[in-house]
Amino acid sequence: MSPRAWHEPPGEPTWRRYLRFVRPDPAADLDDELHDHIESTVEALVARGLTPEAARAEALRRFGDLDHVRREVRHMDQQHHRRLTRAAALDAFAHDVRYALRVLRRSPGFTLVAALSIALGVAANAAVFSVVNALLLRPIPGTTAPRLVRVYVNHHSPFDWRDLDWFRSRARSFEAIVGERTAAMVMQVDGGATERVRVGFVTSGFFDALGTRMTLGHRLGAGTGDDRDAPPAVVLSHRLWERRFGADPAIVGRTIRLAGHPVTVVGVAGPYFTSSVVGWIPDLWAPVGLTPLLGDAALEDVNSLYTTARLRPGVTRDAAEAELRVLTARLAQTDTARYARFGVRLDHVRGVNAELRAPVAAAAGFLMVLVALVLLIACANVANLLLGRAAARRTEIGVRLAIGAGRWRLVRQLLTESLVLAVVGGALGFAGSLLVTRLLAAAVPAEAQLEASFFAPDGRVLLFTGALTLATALLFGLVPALRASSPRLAPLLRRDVPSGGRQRSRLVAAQAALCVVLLAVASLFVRSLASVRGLDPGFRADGVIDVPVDASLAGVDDAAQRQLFTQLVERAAALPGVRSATLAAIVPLSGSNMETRVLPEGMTVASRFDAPRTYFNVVGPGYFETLALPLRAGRGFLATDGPDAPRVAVVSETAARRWWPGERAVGKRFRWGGVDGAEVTVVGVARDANHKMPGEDPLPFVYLPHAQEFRGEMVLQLRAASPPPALRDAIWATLRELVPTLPPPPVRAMREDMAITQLPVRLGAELAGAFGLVALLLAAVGIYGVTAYSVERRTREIGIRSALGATRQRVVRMVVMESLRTVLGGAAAGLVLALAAGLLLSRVLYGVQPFDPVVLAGVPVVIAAAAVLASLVPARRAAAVDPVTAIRTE
Amino acid sequence: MADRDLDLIQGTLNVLILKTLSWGPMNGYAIAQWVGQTTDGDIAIEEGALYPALHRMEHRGWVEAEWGLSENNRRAKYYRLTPLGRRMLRDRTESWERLVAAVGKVLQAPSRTQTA
Repeated sequence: MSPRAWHEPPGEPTWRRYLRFVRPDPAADLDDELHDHIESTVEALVARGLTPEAARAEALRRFGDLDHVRREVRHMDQQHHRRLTRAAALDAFAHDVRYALRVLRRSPGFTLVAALSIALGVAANAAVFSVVNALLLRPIPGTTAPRLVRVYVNHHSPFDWRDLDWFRSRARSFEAIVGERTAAMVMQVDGGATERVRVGFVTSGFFDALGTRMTLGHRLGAGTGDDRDAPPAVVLSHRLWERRFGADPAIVGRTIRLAGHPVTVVGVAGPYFTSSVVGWIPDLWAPVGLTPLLGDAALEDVNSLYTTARLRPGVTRDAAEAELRVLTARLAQTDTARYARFGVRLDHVRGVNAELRAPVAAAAGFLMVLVALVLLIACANVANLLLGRAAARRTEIGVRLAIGAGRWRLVRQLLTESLVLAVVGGALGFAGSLLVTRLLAAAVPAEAQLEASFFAPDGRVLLFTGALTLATALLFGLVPALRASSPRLAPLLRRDVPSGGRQRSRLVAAQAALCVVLLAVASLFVRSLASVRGLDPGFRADGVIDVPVDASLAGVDDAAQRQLFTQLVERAAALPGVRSATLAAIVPLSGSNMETRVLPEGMTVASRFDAPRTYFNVVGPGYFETLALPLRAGRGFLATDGPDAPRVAVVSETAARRWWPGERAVGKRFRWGGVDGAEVTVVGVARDANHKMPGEDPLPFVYLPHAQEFRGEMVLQLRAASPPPALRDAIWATLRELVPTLPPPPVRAMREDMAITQLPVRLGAELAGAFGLVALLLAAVGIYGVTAYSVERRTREIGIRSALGATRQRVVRMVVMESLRTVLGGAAAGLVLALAAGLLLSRVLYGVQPFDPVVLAGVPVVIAAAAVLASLVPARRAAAVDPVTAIRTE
Repeated sequence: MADRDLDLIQGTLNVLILKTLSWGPMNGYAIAQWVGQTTDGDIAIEEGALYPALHRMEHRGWVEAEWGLSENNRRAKYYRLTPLGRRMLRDRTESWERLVAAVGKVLQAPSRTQTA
């Protein structure tokens, strides 16, 4: 064997040569080296007269532990080798990045368009994922406790306090079981004006169990762990503390009044904590033990506690659920009627409550698909640009291949360029998504009281965006990189090699197809929005004015509040321009709903959970006249249906048909609130109307008279000939006369209150529309790029055509028709996909067929128009080519 | 303290090897022989320490290696000093001499009983 010659090109770091040294076979080299040592010793000993055998034995003895030395040196070499490899990889990557930055800076136009394409795609995806994260993935914000689970009764129902108390004192699988419910209450600070706040009533140890971060003070103490001896203390939300108390650092220890009773502020929750239930935003929290004092319910009657529990370390969810099953069986023996078919389930605490998860997940999935399409279009765009560049850089790449750069090396270099582009675009896109989520939070109506930070990104969103950016780089970079470095093309350094033209056309066709899907979906939503607005909800909302009035803020008792409402309705009805006036607890289609169980006369049920559910409203006399909601039988409410009169109700047609099929409903009775509720007599049947969502299937619905089901917070509804602004001052004056202390309420059209239930369709239309436009823009850029490239490549051919007498017009038409053919081919495929999408969406869309002819015909026309516009510029440039120069250039 | 001793020993071994290699490229066996003969057998480098030291210095770039054939046609690895190794040899020699001088001063200082 001869000594290895090593020749290094100048400029390579010295240590690089050691790589080659170590790389071949370090283990064999080491063995050779040690072998040489032993043999040299043997030779020396033999020369001194030992026999070869004795010499070898002596040499080995002198060397000592040969194996140990070999292992030690081997280990050292390996570690050294690993260090070198890592450093080399890092060094090469840094070199590639520097080179990529240089290349990208050299063509700012390409870099800008490509980075913006990626930014648009990533922004849309990151924004939608932020929403998905907030609604479906995120644990309770602002808390630190591990091993939290949600506890439900049967399917997603909250607990009654006494059941929660029963389980909490017996279940061993949990460190804590806590519940939360919300109620509206009147708050007064320092004898000032009263205001309505949302109070979260929580069981003892609630904040400790969740590990809620606090801004000030301490959590509501667990005390004895018994809700009955709860102290009159409250924790403020960070929001209320800032809004109402100016972020006063000395707030802890102050006393405020809740429903007239003094309570002490003991702490302020951290800024991110809103509630244990996503979507609830209490202003402050009080111990549930105060319910008897502040409200009117005994602790034993408190229900609707959404329950969260913390598992003991090492206890699995299954084990805990098994324990709960055993306990449930024991509980059932205490009251077989109450606990028939009573079950307890555990669920995770991520995102919205389980009963909302399916619709939210469906909407989120739909949006994710839309934005994924946008990103695909963006990737196609960048791939397209890269293919075009690869053609332009053919000479550079050919030369590099020719002088011996490995293909892998080139692919790595090109992919690094893609990665740098993607990272720049991804960072821009992430910044853009922050803006989009802010806009989204702002688009949600104020009633939802969404925090601006609700969709704020966390680590999960960052991780998603990062992974997406990497995936994007591979998606748009891999094929162009492989193609550009293809050795087949490399030797051909000539300029007229056709390169990538067909692939680029295919990409444009794919873009057109995806674009058609997005535009078709957007159009379906827009048309659906129009038909939702035209739907007949069963009543006439036009000409109705809503005025929310909270009489409980007046600080007087129920009897005085009743009187106030009666006077208010009387006087409002007498205002000029007002035809009739009434009261309602909730405005239909405004997003609020009340639901309860009833037991209709003649129906028997196995357990209280089998009693039918119904939505209901509490309304004043004249309600059906004011809303123009026709009565099919019987009568509406009268002033005589007072608090002491027999309890009466009006039911919807569907309720009447379902509860007493084939019978006359008027005169029938039902139990209100469930199997052991008060008895109520039906006096009228009203036409079915929409209450929850426009165009919904008719629901059983019950109307109760306000006089018999009193509420302090009602909406005054007026049917008037004049618009809200014209009546506002008169209404405020009337209110001021009745209760001088009441702050002036908003006066607005009922249509405005109903806007929220159109929100899903409206948001769908707006988002799909925005994404569709972005897609169209991206596709147009793609078409432009491909056409411009193909025109440039065919300068000579076009020159010959012109020389042979083709008019400019003909040249333009030829170029435009060519790109139109590509785009329409893609659009046809897109239409098939769009039909499938329409079928999937048919449940969300009102009054629109998935095969809507306007959409099917309109969308391809839009795409075609975009294609014509995008190819017109390069086409005109082609036509302007002087035949003589064109032929000479090649 | 044991670690410091080890450092000292290793440092000493390194400087011996570097000095040996300043005479020209050698394989591990020759290095050990040369040190043994130069010190008349007072210092015997153990193979268990020699090879780790050689490889460590190679990784640090003090010495570089080249494969060649020994007189008996075996593959042999010849080490030689790099410019960095030459500089290290100079530095280490100086500090070794300073150390020896310092230790000598301490050991030759008059004992306490005599000064009293």
